[in-house]
Amino acid sequence: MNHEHDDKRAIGRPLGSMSRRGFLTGVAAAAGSAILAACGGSSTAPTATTAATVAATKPAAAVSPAASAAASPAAAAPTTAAASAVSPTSAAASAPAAAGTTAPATSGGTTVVTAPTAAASTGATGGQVSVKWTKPATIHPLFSTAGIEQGAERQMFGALVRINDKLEPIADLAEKIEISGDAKTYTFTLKKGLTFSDGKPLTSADVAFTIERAVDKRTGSYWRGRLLALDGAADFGDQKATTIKGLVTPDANTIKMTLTNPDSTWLITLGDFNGLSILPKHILESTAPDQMAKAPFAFAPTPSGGAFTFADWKADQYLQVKRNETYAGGPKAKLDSIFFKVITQDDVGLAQLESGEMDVFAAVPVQELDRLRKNPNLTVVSVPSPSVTFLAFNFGRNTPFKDKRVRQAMMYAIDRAGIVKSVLNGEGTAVNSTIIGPDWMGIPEGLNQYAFDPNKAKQLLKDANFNSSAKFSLIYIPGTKVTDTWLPIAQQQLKDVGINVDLTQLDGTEYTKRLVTGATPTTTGDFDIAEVDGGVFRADPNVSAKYFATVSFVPAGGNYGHYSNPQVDDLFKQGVATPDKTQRKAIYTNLAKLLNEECPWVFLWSPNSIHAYNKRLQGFKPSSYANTFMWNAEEWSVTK
Amino acid sequence: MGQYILRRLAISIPVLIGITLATYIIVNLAPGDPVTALISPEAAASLGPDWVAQQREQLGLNKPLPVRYVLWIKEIGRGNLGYSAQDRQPIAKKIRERLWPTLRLMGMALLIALLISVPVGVVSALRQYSVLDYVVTISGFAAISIPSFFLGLVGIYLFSLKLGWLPTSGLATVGKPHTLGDSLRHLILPAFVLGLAQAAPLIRYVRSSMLEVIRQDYINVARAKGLRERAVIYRHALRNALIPLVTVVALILPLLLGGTVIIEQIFQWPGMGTLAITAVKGRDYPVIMAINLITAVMILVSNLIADILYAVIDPRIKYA
Repeated sequence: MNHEHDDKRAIGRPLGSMSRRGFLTGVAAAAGSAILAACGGSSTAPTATTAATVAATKPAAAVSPAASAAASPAAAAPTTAAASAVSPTSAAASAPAAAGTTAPATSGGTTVVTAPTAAASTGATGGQVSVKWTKPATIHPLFSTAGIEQGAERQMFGALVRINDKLEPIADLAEKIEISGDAKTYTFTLKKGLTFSDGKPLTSADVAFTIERAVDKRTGSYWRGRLLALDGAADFGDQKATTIKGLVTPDANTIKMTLTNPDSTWLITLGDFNGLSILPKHILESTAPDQMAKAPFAFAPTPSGGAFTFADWKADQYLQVKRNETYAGGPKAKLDSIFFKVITQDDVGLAQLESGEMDVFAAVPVQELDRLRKNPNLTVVSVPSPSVTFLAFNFGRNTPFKDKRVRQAMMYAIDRAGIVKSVLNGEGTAVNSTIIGPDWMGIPEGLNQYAFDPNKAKQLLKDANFNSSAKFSLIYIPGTKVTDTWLPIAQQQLKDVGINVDLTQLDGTEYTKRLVTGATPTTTGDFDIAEVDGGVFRADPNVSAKYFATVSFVPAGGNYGHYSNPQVDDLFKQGVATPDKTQRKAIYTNLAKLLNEECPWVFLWSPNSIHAYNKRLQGFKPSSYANTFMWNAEEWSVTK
Repeated sequence: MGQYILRRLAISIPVLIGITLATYIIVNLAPGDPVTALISPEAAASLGPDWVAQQREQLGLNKPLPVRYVLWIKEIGRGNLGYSAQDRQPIAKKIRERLWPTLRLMGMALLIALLISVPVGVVSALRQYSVLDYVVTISGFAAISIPSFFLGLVGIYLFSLKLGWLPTSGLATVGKPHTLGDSLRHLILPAFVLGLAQAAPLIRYVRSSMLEVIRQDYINVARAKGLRERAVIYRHALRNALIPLVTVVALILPLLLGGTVIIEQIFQWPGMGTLAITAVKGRDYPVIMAINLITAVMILVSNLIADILYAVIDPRIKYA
């Protein structure tokens, strides 16, 4: 009827004159074309140059290796590349001998370190390599705090000094380093003809600029603390002075650094984190110090002065660096480019490794070792890592762990060697102190091995009148298969002798807060026991000072539990006062014995670092003592 | 209708403010802050409390909570999404970088889900209680129960490692020139896994909706008129059965921009889901708030669109 006609027009036409059908067709067409466009286009096209993608290291704490090789006036045995045949695959013909440290020559109290002469590498030029990387917060050298970031920066930037696979400092952009007899003055002579990748020369002015910005408090750089050892740096950083007194650049190629106190490990400090990268003054001087972290340079660091330059950065995907054709600091890199692929899940990275999409995977989880070894395309190497897994005690609260016997009981109660064998597949060694290297130090003899002995543990606990009904919280960050496996085992073994421990899982920030930032100089954080993996102990015995000396109390150091022992402090002081290795070895042997007896931690083990890489990669030399496995990436090459 | 839309939009503003306020409070209640989340405990110990304090100052974390919220609202009012606390990059830029990959993945997944669910659901409804129907319902049940990351890993293992047909992960092959084929090859596996996961509930929707429709009287009338079965189904039953599906799809639309965390992690897909989870893990308050705001806006808008579409498609519905 007419009435219904009108209603139909009113009700069925909410869109006015357009019919329902027309509207729906329009929507379908729009959606369809949108989807087709989505399939067809991609704004994330990687560049056309073939490049090598390299897997980056996990951010193991690469905080302060303190290898003190450089300043020894005694004739140190030169470590040449041939000697560093740690990697079984260095039999590859193209392995160059460029990594050797020349023995520092001493004359009249001054030690001179010269840059190693790079032998001509026989690898072919060209090709690309993919490396596993984890997501970086920044790739700006002044602000990076994680090893993975620095590993990538190291490829792009040159530094005065960098660290080789033996954790020894070698001269990089500097041709010659003179160290005064009192270890207070360091004079660097830059190589001739150095430039940034945009052609502008790299001179001492750039070095001075980099150091000044790093020291400046307004910048907020990670490097500030390390560089405060320079005379006058503190005043400059607080803007009380306009220059750093101890930093002088007499000419374009010379930099003279004077320290406030003698420090024979200064080169290690400069070489730490893959070296203090030299920034281009002509690009960055117009950026205010407090704006540096935000500047575009932080995610597009070009130009740079290293063997590679920045090519591309795709967030959450990859960083690409390509060969620097104007590099004058040594032989040019072989690879066309390196891709650092961001991988958040190990499984994904391993799948890419096996399918050939990834070439290098560092820090392979130990469970995958056997499977990867069977893969005919991969080479797997396992080297001792510099870190130690341990349980830290909180001495800041009233716990029975203040009694040495209880701590020793824990050492006996946990079957450390057994866990290394079963959970770590033998990839590691149980340790009984943190004095475990480097080579000249070795592992001291005469330490109590604390072999697995629950009865002895029970006896010690009885002697100490330990109350078995007490419960303690052990905080840790879950997520690593190895840790998640061995902790319940240890918990059970402790329970068997009467120590009841609750495993408390925390996420990263809460853990950091309870262990470090929640502490004050006089109070410790909120934990009874903490499981920690880290440290670079194998680099130098003095690294342990960061964890056991009274001056290293958290939050300003690594002494998480506020352990304090005047004897220990004294020995640490003695250890750095002399550069003579024989004397140091004796001092640290005594220290090791003391730590071994006192057990301020439950010393567990030092795990191995396992790296896997595709056989087509040549020149890979796993750093025997650190996770900086890309330290010689400019020597890498690929066979097709 | 116009009035209805205006009213809905007007209500959206206080709803949005409420959502952002609630999120801000809850996010700040979580332990930790962007600075400690950024560095390892060892690094925190090395840098010392001064550095931590300075970073907190720079990020404005020392101001009281209400002040920070108001400041944030002011910036949003000016159209400035802010800067990430983790890497100091402008948030708008970070989101822009990830929009396209997210749209591609989610769009393709939705398409696959619809292409699977509609035919399967219809057929399953028409042949109710047949073997096919049982197979479909049981596998649908299985698909809903199996976690998507498992499906993803199985897919990678099967199609990439064992068969070698497809790449394992990523947006495209690094270093090679970009082609559509390469892009599609990388897209297939994640989109399919995601599509399958999304298809499972959709099949059940389509099936039950279809079942309901074919019992209606007008279907009998159509058959009685002598129409072929195919015409009955496609011209009459299907359209009416798909009405609820339209609403469901419209509600899935916010996901198009929201991304999906698990699939993105497994396939290393740089999408919004990864941005969100990284921000949450890193206590990156500005990014969390920005993503939250965008998602809330998307949900409100898509709800409105769903309601309007419903009114457009179904003449029985009208809004005062």
